[in-house]
Amino acid sequence: MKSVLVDFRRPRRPPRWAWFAVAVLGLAAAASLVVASMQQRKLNELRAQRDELIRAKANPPPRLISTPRPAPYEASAREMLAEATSKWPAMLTAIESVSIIGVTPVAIEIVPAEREIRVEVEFVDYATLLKFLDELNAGEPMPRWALVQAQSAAATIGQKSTATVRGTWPP
Amino acid sequence: MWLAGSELVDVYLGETAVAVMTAGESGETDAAHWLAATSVDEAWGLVAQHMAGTGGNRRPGRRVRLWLSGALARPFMFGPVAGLRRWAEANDVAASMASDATGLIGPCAIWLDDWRPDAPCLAVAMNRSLLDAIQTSAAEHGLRIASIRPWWTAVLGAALQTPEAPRCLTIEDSDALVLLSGSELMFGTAVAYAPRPDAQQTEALLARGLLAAGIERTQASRASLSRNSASSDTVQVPFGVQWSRLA
Repeated sequence: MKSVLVDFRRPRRPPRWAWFAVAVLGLAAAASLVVASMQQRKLNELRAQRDELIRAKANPPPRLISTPRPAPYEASAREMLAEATSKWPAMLTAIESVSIIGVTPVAIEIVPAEREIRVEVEFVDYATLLKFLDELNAGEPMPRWALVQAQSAAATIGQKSTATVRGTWPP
Repeated sequence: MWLAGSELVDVYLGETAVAVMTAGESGETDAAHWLAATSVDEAWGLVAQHMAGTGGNRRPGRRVRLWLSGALARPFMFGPVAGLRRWAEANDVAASMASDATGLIGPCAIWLDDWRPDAPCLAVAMNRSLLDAIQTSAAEHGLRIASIRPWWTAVLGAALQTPEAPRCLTIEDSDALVLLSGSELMFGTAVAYAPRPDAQQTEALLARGLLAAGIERTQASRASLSRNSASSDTVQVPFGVQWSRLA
Protein backbone atom coordinates (compact mmCIF):
# COMPACT_ATOMS: atom_id res chain seq x y z
CA MET A 1 0.00 0.00 0.00
CA LYS A 2 1.04 3.57 -0.35
CA SER A 3 -0.03 6.91 0.88
CA VAL A 4 -2.69 8.60 -1.25
CA LEU A 5 -3.49 12.25 -1.43
CA VAL A 6 -7.15 12.32 -2.27
CA ASP A 7 -8.66 15.78 -2.55
CA PHE A 8 -12.11 16.47 -3.93
CA ARG A 9 -11.77 20.22 -3.59
CA ARG A 10 -12.71 21.87 -6.82
CA PRO A 11 -10.07 24.32 -7.95
CA ARG A 12 -11.20 27.87 -7.41
CA ARG A 13 -11.83 29.89 -10.49
CA PRO A 14 -9.83 33.04 -10.64
CA PRO A 15 -11.85 36.28 -10.34
CA ARG A 16 -12.65 38.38 -13.35
CA TRP A 17 -10.09 41.01 -12.50
CA ALA A 18 -7.44 38.28 -12.69
CA TRP A 19 -8.45 37.51 -16.27
CA PHE A 20 -8.40 41.23 -17.00
CA ALA A 21 -4.94 41.48 -15.50
CA VAL A 22 -3.80 38.51 -17.52
CA ALA A 23 -5.21 40.09 -20.67
CA VAL A 24 -3.48 43.39 -19.89
CA LEU A 25 -0.23 41.61 -19.20
CA GLY A 26 -0.60 39.62 -22.39
CA LEU A 27 -1.20 42.75 -24.42
CA ALA A 28 1.75 44.42 -22.75
CA ALA A 29 3.90 41.41 -23.51
CA ALA A 30 2.74 41.40 -27.12
CA ALA A 31 3.44 45.11 -27.46
CA SER A 32 6.85 44.61 -25.91
CA LEU A 33 7.56 41.84 -28.36
CA VAL A 34 6.57 44.03 -31.28
CA VAL A 35 8.71 46.91 -30.03
CA ALA A 36 11.58 44.57 -29.33
CA SER A 37 11.35 43.05 -32.79
CA MET A 38 11.32 46.50 -34.38
CA GLN A 39 14.32 47.58 -32.35
CA GLN A 40 16.05 44.34 -33.19
CA ARG A 41 15.42 44.93 -36.87
CA LYS A 42 16.75 48.47 -36.61
CA LEU A 43 19.74 47.21 -34.69
CA ASN A 44 20.43 44.63 -37.38
CA GLU A 45 20.28 47.33 -40.02
CA LEU A 46 22.71 49.50 -38.08
CA ARG A 47 25.01 46.53 -37.60
CA ALA A 48 24.89 45.81 -41.31
CA GLN A 49 25.73 49.42 -42.04
CA ARG A 50 28.57 49.32 -39.53
CA ASP A 51 29.94 46.13 -41.07
CA GLU A 52 29.68 47.66 -44.51
CA LEU A 53 31.59 50.73 -43.34
CA ILE A 54 34.25 48.54 -41.75
CA ARG A 55 34.63 46.58 -44.96
CA ALA A 56 34.79 49.76 -47.01
CA LYS A 57 37.44 51.18 -44.71
CA ALA A 58 39.50 48.00 -44.98
CA ASN A 59 39.26 47.87 -48.77
CA PRO A 60 38.97 51.43 -50.12
CA PRO A 61 37.73 51.70 -53.68
CA PRO A 62 40.22 52.78 -56.36
CA ARG A 63 40.55 56.50 -56.70
CA LEU A 64 38.85 58.11 -59.59
CA ILE A 65 41.22 59.47 -62.20
CA SER A 66 40.23 62.97 -62.95
CA THR A 67 40.32 63.81 -66.62
CA PRO A 68 41.20 67.42 -67.28
CA ARG A 69 38.88 69.36 -69.41
CA PRO A 70 40.15 69.91 -72.91
CA ALA A 71 41.51 73.38 -73.43
CA PRO A 72 39.61 75.63 -75.87
CA TYR A 73 42.66 75.86 -78.08
CA GLU A 74 43.23 72.08 -78.13
CA ALA A 75 42.06 71.66 -81.70
CA SER A 76 44.29 74.41 -82.98
CA ALA A 77 47.20 73.12 -80.94
CA ARG A 78 46.78 69.61 -82.26
CA GLU A 79 46.57 70.93 -85.78
CA MET A 80 49.68 72.94 -85.27
CA LEU A 81 51.43 69.99 -83.68
CA ALA A 82 50.45 67.74 -86.57
CA GLU A 83 51.70 70.28 -89.01
CA ALA A 84 54.93 70.69 -87.11
CA THR A 85 55.57 66.99 -86.87
CA SER A 86 54.37 66.06 -90.34
CA LYS A 87 56.75 65.03 -93.08
CA TRP A 88 55.61 67.50 -95.73
CA PRO A 89 59.14 69.01 -96.03
CA ALA A 90 60.35 65.66 -97.34
CA MET A 91 57.52 65.72 -99.87
CA LEU A 92 58.53 69.22 -100.97
CA THR A 93 62.12 68.03 -101.32
CA ALA A 94 60.93 65.25 -103.59
CA ILE A 95 59.06 67.76 -105.80
CA GLU A 96 62.11 70.01 -105.98
CA SER A 97 64.42 67.13 -106.82
CA VAL A 98 62.31 66.00 -109.77
CA SER A 99 62.82 68.29 -112.70
CA ILE A 100 61.05 67.20 -115.88
CA ILE A 101 60.78 69.50 -118.86
CA GLY A 102 57.15 69.76 -119.90
CA VAL A 103 55.71 69.55 -116.34
CA THR A 104 55.55 72.70 -114.24
CA PRO A 105 54.14 72.83 -110.69
CA VAL A 106 51.91 75.84 -110.41
CA ALA A 107 50.31 75.38 -106.99
CA ILE A 108 50.94 73.36 -103.84
CA GLU A 109 48.43 72.69 -101.09
CA ILE A 110 49.53 70.98 -97.91
CA VAL A 111 46.90 69.31 -95.72
CA PRO A 112 48.70 68.03 -92.58
CA ALA A 113 45.51 66.68 -90.98
CA GLU A 114 45.09 64.28 -93.88
CA ARG A 115 48.83 63.78 -94.32
CA GLU A 116 48.69 64.67 -97.96
CA ILE A 117 50.01 67.29 -100.32
CA ARG A 118 48.28 68.29 -103.54
CA VAL A 119 50.27 69.66 -106.37
CA GLU A 120 48.73 71.27 -109.44
CA VAL A 121 50.92 71.03 -112.48
CA GLU A 122 50.77 72.12 -116.10
CA PHE A 123 51.93 69.54 -118.53
CA VAL A 124 52.42 69.26 -122.22
CA ASP A 125 51.35 65.70 -122.73
CA TYR A 126 50.34 62.66 -120.70
CA ALA A 127 53.59 60.83 -121.31
CA THR A 128 55.54 63.59 -119.66
CA LEU A 129 53.05 63.76 -116.78
CA LEU A 130 53.33 60.03 -116.12
CA LYS A 131 57.08 60.27 -116.26
CA PHE A 132 56.88 63.04 -113.65
CA LEU A 133 54.86 60.68 -111.40
CA ASP A 134 57.37 57.87 -111.87
CA GLU A 135 60.19 60.19 -110.87
CA LEU A 136 58.32 61.25 -107.74
CA ASN A 137 57.69 57.61 -106.74
CA ALA A 138 61.20 56.48 -107.56
CA GLY A 139 62.92 54.81 -104.60
CA GLU A 140 59.68 54.40 -102.61
CA PRO A 141 58.64 50.85 -101.67
CA MET A 142 55.03 51.88 -102.03
CA PRO A 143 53.91 54.61 -104.48
CA ARG A 144 53.18 57.77 -102.51
CA TRP A 145 52.17 59.95 -105.40
CA ALA A 146 49.10 59.45 -107.51
CA LEU A 147 47.37 61.30 -110.23
CA VAL A 148 44.08 62.64 -108.98
CA GLN A 149 42.78 64.60 -111.87
CA ALA A 150 44.04 65.67 -115.32
CA GLN A 151 42.54 67.94 -117.90
CA SER A 152 43.91 68.08 -121.39
CA ALA A 153 43.23 71.34 -123.19
CA ALA A 154 42.90 71.79 -126.90
CA ALA A 155 45.98 73.33 -128.49
CA THR A 156 44.02 75.50 -130.84
CA ILE A 157 42.49 77.57 -128.11
CA GLY A 158 45.89 78.19 -126.47
CA GLN A 159 45.01 76.74 -123.12
CA LYS A 160 47.44 74.56 -121.14
CA SER A 161 46.74 71.02 -119.80
CA THR A 162 46.53 70.83 -116.00
CA ALA A 163 46.60 67.98 -113.55
CA THR A 164 46.43 67.43 -109.83
CA VAL A 165 48.86 65.09 -108.19
CA ARG A 166 48.39 63.97 -104.63
CA GLY A 167 51.12 62.70 -102.42
CA THR A 168 50.73 61.15 -98.96
CA TRP A 169 53.27 60.62 -96.29
CA PRO A 170 53.27 57.91 -93.65
CA PRO A 171 52.20 58.65 -90.06
CA MET B 1 -0.20 31.30 -0.73
CA TRP B 2 -2.34 31.80 2.34
CA LEU B 3 -2.41 35.05 4.18
CA ALA B 4 -0.28 35.10 7.26
CA GLY B 5 -2.30 34.56 10.39
CA SER B 6 -5.30 33.04 8.65
CA GLU B 7 -7.26 30.63 10.78
CA LEU B 8 -7.23 26.93 9.92
CA VAL B 9 -10.19 24.82 10.92
CA ASP B 10 -10.36 21.05 10.67
CA VAL B 11 -13.86 19.73 10.14
CA TYR B 12 -14.79 16.10 10.33
CA LEU B 13 -17.96 15.33 8.44
CA GLY B 14 -19.82 12.05 8.75
CA GLU B 15 -23.37 10.87 8.31
CA THR B 16 -23.97 10.67 12.04
CA ALA B 17 -21.34 12.87 13.57
CA VAL B 18 -19.52 16.06 12.87
CA ALA B 19 -16.60 17.72 14.60
CA VAL B 20 -14.85 21.06 14.41
CA MET B 21 -11.29 21.64 15.57
CA THR B 22 -9.39 24.88 15.27
CA ALA B 23 -5.67 25.06 14.71
CA GLY B 24 -3.58 28.21 14.79
CA GLU B 25 -0.49 29.11 12.84
CA SER B 26 1.75 27.85 15.60
CA GLY B 27 0.21 24.40 15.31
CA GLU B 28 -1.58 24.21 18.65
CA THR B 29 -5.07 22.75 18.41
CA ASP B 30 -8.17 23.27 20.39
CA ALA B 31 -10.24 20.35 21.57
CA ALA B 32 -12.56 18.97 18.92
CA HIS B 33 -16.15 19.98 19.29
CA TRP B 34 -18.30 16.95 18.43
CA LEU B 35 -21.93 17.09 17.43
CA ALA B 36 -24.35 14.31 16.61
CA ALA B 37 -26.45 14.31 13.46
CA THR B 38 -28.92 12.06 11.74
CA SER B 39 -27.90 12.82 8.16
CA VAL B 40 -25.04 14.33 6.29
CA ASP B 41 -27.09 17.36 5.33
CA GLU B 42 -27.90 17.98 8.96
CA ALA B 43 -24.26 17.40 9.88
CA TRP B 44 -23.02 19.97 7.41
CA GLY B 45 -25.69 22.37 8.57
CA LEU B 46 -24.41 21.97 12.10
CA VAL B 47 -20.93 22.73 10.93
CA ALA B 48 -22.09 25.91 9.24
CA GLN B 49 -24.03 26.96 12.33
CA HIS B 50 -21.09 26.27 14.57
CA MET B 51 -18.75 28.20 12.37
CA ALA B 52 -21.16 31.11 12.25
CA GLY B 53 -21.61 30.98 16.02
CA THR B 54 -17.90 31.12 16.62
CA GLY B 55 -17.29 33.55 13.83
CA GLY B 56 -17.73 36.73 15.81
CA ASN B 57 -14.04 37.25 15.91
CA ARG B 58 -13.17 35.37 12.78
CA ARG B 59 -10.97 36.83 10.15
CA PRO B 60 -11.83 36.84 6.47
CA GLY B 61 -10.47 33.90 4.52
CA ARG B 62 -11.03 31.28 7.16
CA ARG B 63 -9.65 28.02 5.82
CA VAL B 64 -11.36 24.72 6.29
CA ARG B 65 -9.80 21.32 5.93
CA LEU B 66 -12.71 18.99 5.51
CA TRP B 67 -12.27 15.35 6.48
CA LEU B 68 -14.92 12.94 5.24
CA SER B 69 -15.94 9.73 6.87
CA GLY B 70 -15.58 6.42 5.10
CA ALA B 71 -19.29 6.41 4.42
CA LEU B 72 -19.05 9.65 2.46
CA ALA B 73 -15.80 8.98 0.61
CA ARG B 74 -15.65 5.32 -0.23
CA PRO B 75 -12.69 3.52 -1.82
CA PHE B 76 -12.92 0.75 -4.37
CA MET B 77 -10.59 -1.01 -6.77
CA PHE B 78 -10.98 0.07 -10.39
CA GLY B 79 -9.85 -1.65 -13.55
CA PRO B 80 -8.06 -2.49 -15.57
CA VAL B 81 -10.76 -1.91 -18.16
CA ALA B 82 -9.91 -2.89 -21.71
CA GLY B 83 -10.12 -0.08 -24.23
CA LEU B 84 -9.48 2.82 -21.90
CA ARG B 85 -6.69 5.04 -23.08
CA ARG B 86 -7.09 8.38 -21.40
CA TRP B 87 -7.52 9.45 -17.84
CA ALA B 88 -10.76 11.29 -18.63
CA GLU B 89 -12.26 8.10 -20.06
CA ALA B 90 -11.19 6.15 -17.01
CA ASN B 91 -12.68 8.79 -14.75
CA ASP B 92 -16.03 8.61 -16.57
CA VAL B 93 -16.10 4.82 -16.45
CA ALA B 94 -15.16 4.79 -12.78
CA ALA B 95 -17.91 7.30 -12.05
CA SER B 96 -20.42 5.07 -13.78
CA MET B 97 -19.22 2.06 -11.76
CA ALA B 98 -19.01 3.84 -8.44
CA SER B 99 -22.58 3.30 -7.33
CA ASP B 100 -22.40 -0.46 -7.85
CA ALA B 101 -18.92 -0.69 -6.38
CA THR B 102 -19.49 1.39 -3.27
CA GLY B 103 -23.22 1.56 -2.63
CA LEU B 104 -23.34 5.33 -2.94
CA ILE B 105 -26.57 6.64 -4.41
CA GLY B 106 -26.59 9.06 -7.31
CA PRO B 107 -23.84 10.50 -9.49
CA CYS B 108 -20.41 10.36 -7.94
CA ALA B 109 -17.26 12.41 -8.08
CA ILE B 110 -14.24 10.20 -8.59
CA TRP B 111 -10.61 10.45 -7.62
CA LEU B 112 -8.23 7.95 -9.25
CA ASP B 113 -4.85 7.14 -7.77
CA ASP B 114 -2.11 6.81 -10.40
CA TRP B 115 -4.37 5.33 -13.06
CA ARG B 116 -2.76 3.31 -15.84
CA PRO B 117 -4.61 1.44 -18.59
CA ASP B 118 -3.08 -1.93 -17.77
CA ALA B 119 -3.21 -2.02 -13.99
CA PRO B 120 -5.83 -1.83 -11.27
CA CYS B 121 -5.85 1.32 -9.22
CA LEU B 122 -7.43 2.73 -6.14
CA ALA B 123 -10.51 4.85 -6.75
CA VAL B 124 -12.40 6.97 -4.27
CA ALA B 125 -15.97 8.05 -4.81
CA MET B 126 -18.18 10.59 -3.11
CA ASN B 127 -21.64 11.82 -3.88
CA ARG B 128 -21.43 14.67 -6.36
CA SER B 129 -24.46 16.51 -5.06
CA LEU B 130 -22.94 16.44 -1.57
CA LEU B 131 -19.69 17.81 -2.94
CA ASP B 132 -21.51 20.61 -4.72
CA ALA B 133 -23.56 21.38 -1.62
CA ILE B 134 -20.47 21.56 0.55
CA GLN B 135 -18.68 23.96 -1.76
CA THR B 136 -21.73 26.14 -2.29
CA SER B 137 -22.48 26.31 1.42
CA ALA B 138 -18.87 27.06 2.26
CA ALA B 139 -18.86 29.96 -0.18
CA GLU B 140 -22.08 31.29 1.32
CA HIS B 141 -20.58 31.24 4.81
CA GLY B 142 -17.36 32.86 3.73
CA LEU B 143 -15.28 29.75 4.28
CA ARG B 144 -12.40 28.81 2.06
CA ILE B 145 -12.14 25.08 1.51
CA ALA B 146 -8.49 24.13 1.75
CA SER B 147 -9.06 20.44 1.09
CA ILE B 148 -11.76 17.80 1.03
CA ARG B 149 -10.18 14.50 1.93
CA PRO B 150 -11.27 11.17 3.34
CA TRP B 151 -10.26 10.88 6.98
CA TRP B 152 -9.05 7.34 6.39
CA THR B 153 -6.33 8.61 3.99
CA ALA B 154 -4.76 10.49 6.91
CA VAL B 155 -4.83 7.28 8.93
CA LEU B 156 -3.30 5.34 6.05
CA GLY B 157 -0.52 7.88 5.68
CA ALA B 158 0.25 7.72 9.38
CA ALA B 159 0.23 3.90 9.37
CA LEU B 160 2.67 3.74 6.47
CA GLN B 161 5.11 5.94 8.37
CA THR B 162 5.45 3.45 11.21
CA PRO B 163 8.52 1.20 11.25
CA GLU B 164 6.42 -1.90 10.59
CA ALA B 165 4.02 -0.65 7.98
CA PRO B 166 0.98 -2.94 7.83
CA ARG B 167 -0.05 -4.76 4.70
CA CYS B 168 -3.65 -4.81 5.83
CA LEU B 169 -5.39 -1.98 7.62
CA THR B 170 -8.89 -1.56 8.92
CA ILE B 171 -10.02 1.95 9.73
CA GLU B 172 -13.14 2.57 11.73
CA ASP B 173 -14.62 6.00 11.91
CA SER B 174 -17.97 7.32 13.00
CA ASP B 175 -19.89 5.79 10.11
CA ALA B 176 -17.96 3.09 8.35
CA LEU B 177 -15.22 0.55 8.28
CA VAL B 178 -12.62 0.85 5.56
CA LEU B 179 -10.56 -2.20 4.72
CA LEU B 180 -7.34 -1.70 2.79
CA SER B 181 -4.71 -4.26 1.87
CA GLY B 182 -1.93 -4.70 -0.63
CA SER B 183 1.74 -5.00 -1.21
CA GLU B 184 4.27 -2.23 -1.53
CA LEU B 185 2.96 0.65 -3.61
CA MET B 186 -0.01 -1.43 -4.74
CA PHE B 187 -3.51 -1.85 -3.43
CA GLY B 188 -5.15 -5.25 -3.62
CA THR B 189 -8.31 -4.56 -1.67
CA ALA B 190 -10.13 -1.34 -0.92
CA VAL B 191 -13.63 -1.60 0.52
CA ALA B 192 -15.82 0.60 2.67
CA TYR B 193 -18.53 -0.94 4.80
CA ALA B 194 -21.28 1.46 5.79
CA PRO B 195 -23.02 1.48 8.15
CA ARG B 196 -20.13 0.47 10.33
CA PRO B 197 -20.12 -3.26 11.20
CA ASP B 198 -20.11 -4.29 14.81
CA ALA B 199 -17.09 -5.90 16.43
CA GLN B 200 -17.94 -9.47 15.41
CA GLN B 201 -18.70 -8.50 11.84
CA THR B 202 -15.50 -6.50 11.67
CA GLU B 203 -13.49 -9.46 12.91
CA ALA B 204 -15.11 -11.73 10.34
CA LEU B 205 -14.52 -9.27 7.51
CA LEU B 206 -10.92 -8.82 8.54
CA ALA B 207 -10.32 -12.58 8.74
CA ARG B 208 -11.81 -13.07 5.33
CA GLY B 209 -9.81 -10.22 3.86
CA LEU B 210 -6.56 -11.53 5.29
CA LEU B 211 -7.26 -15.00 3.96
CA ALA B 212 -8.13 -13.74 0.50
CA ALA B 213 -5.04 -11.57 0.33
CA GLY B 214 -2.74 -14.15 1.89
CA ILE B 215 -1.61 -11.81 4.62
CA GLU B 216 -0.56 -12.86 8.12
CA ARG B 217 -2.39 -11.37 11.08
CA THR B 218 0.89 -9.95 12.28
CA GLN B 219 0.94 -7.74 9.20
CA ALA B 220 -2.44 -6.22 9.90
CA SER B 221 -3.38 -3.20 11.97
CA ARG B 222 -6.59 -1.71 13.19
CA ALA B 223 -7.24 1.97 13.59
CA SER B 224 -10.27 3.66 14.95
CA LEU B 225 -11.40 7.22 15.44
CA SER B 226 -10.71 8.08 19.06
CA ARG B 227 -12.50 11.43 19.18
CA ASN B 228 -9.64 12.54 21.38
CA SER B 229 -7.78 15.41 19.78
CA ALA B 230 -5.20 15.31 22.56
CA SER B 231 -3.83 12.09 21.08
CA SER B 232 -0.18 12.09 20.10
CA ASP B 233 -1.20 11.42 16.49
CA THR B 234 -3.33 14.51 16.23
CA VAL B 235 -0.87 16.28 13.99
CA GLN B 236 -0.76 13.45 11.47
CA VAL B 237 -4.33 12.28 12.01
CA PRO B 238 -6.77 15.00 12.99
CA PHE B 239 -9.37 14.18 15.63
CA GLY B 240 -7.25 11.37 17.04
CA VAL B 241 -6.81 7.70 16.23
CA GLN B 242 -6.31 4.58 18.28
CA TRP B 243 -4.06 1.85 16.97
CA SER B 244 -4.07 -1.83 17.69
CA ARG B 245 -2.30 -4.87 16.28
CA LEU B 246 -4.22 -8.03 15.63
CA ALA B 247 -1.64 -10.53 16.78
